[in-house]
Amino acid sequence: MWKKNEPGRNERRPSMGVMRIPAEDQPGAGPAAAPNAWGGSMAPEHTGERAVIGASITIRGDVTGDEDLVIQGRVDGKVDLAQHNVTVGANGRIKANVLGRTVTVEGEVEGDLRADEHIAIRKSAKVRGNVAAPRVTIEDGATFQGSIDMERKAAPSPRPAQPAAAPPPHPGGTGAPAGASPRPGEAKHPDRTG
Amino acid sequence: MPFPFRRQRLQATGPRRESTERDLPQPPLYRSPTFRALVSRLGPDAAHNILDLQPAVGANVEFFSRYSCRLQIVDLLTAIGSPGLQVQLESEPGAVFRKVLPRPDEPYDVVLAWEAFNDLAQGQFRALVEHLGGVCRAGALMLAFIATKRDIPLSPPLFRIVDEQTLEWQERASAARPCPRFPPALVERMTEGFVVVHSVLMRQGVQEYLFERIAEPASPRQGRRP
Repeated sequence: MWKKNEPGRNERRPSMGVMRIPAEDQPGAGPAAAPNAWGGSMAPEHTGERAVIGASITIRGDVTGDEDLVIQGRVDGKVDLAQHNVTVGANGRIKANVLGRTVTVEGEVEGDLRADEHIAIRKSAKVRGNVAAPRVTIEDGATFQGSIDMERKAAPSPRPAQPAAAPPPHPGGTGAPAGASPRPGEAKHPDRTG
Repeated sequence: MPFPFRRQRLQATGPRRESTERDLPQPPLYRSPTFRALVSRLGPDAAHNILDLQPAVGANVEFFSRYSCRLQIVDLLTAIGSPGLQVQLESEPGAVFRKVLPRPDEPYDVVLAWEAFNDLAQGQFRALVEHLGGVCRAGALMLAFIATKRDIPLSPPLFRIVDEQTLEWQERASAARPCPRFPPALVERMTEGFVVVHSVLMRQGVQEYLFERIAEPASPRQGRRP
């Protein structure tokens, strides 16, 4: 049922329908802990590997985790991998809101996509929903219906130029210093001359 | 190719010689003074709520990303092309447009209608304008290209933004059909609630319009200003 990397490996039972890479294959990881059907605190340290939901898998519910994810199957619910990369493969069919650091879509998505960095909608993609990310790219050929929210990180608004401070009254009355001449229509300082 | 269409020519060096391979046809580039007028009125630091009525084009998304905007994309003609809506479009065009163009959370600042109006009958044209007037804020801008030639393609072309004044004009259908050829006086009567702020008749048979919404929309919420 589950997509296996290699036969005969001591694989922990997947949690929430997500296939994990065996712990002993992950460098720096300790011995595999006792399997827990729900994952819980048994998850290994994140090492940059990614999980795959195979094309024959259907998940109804929320998908969360601490690693990158490639979805080639069906997901109805929610995908929340805020710090990681989410890819909806060409065979992926998603009816869910997706949250990731980056989101790449090659299949079909009906739902909202949100990313902290970038959302890429490939030419084979069909997306119906709202998309929000600082950067969004859509390849020609993609089918898209919805809104794209491209928030630019607001640059610190430049301080408005400080108006030239009213010059202190000059004892000698020799005239206003450079740059402090009154603006048109502005009443002259009583101590200014000229 | 008449102005302002210009095909991109491949650079050639040396004496003219027989080409051994055919030049790939390039979509013509189209200089649009009205699009330039629209872009010039978009403040680079302000947020804009933009409605685009043609299919999603990556280059257009990339172009508007510099404006920190929300871009709503609705392929209008595909959306109203379903058999059920086509029948309703004849009798209740307003209802159809309300269905395919739902009221946004915030009124639109810009509407890119491109050549969508050329595929509508007069009653549908008015209904679309009335609906757009209701979802735009006062001062919103609407860009529309109204064809004036005798025949137009069965499907409107796709406009890809090259830069602030240049569009790439991509035909999607070679078959032609009669064009409604809405004259300027009729267009102005059918765009109640909008005023023409920029209009140019182009040689290739297109009258470009930039409209501005002149009345407050029905929604009590205020829109973002450019």
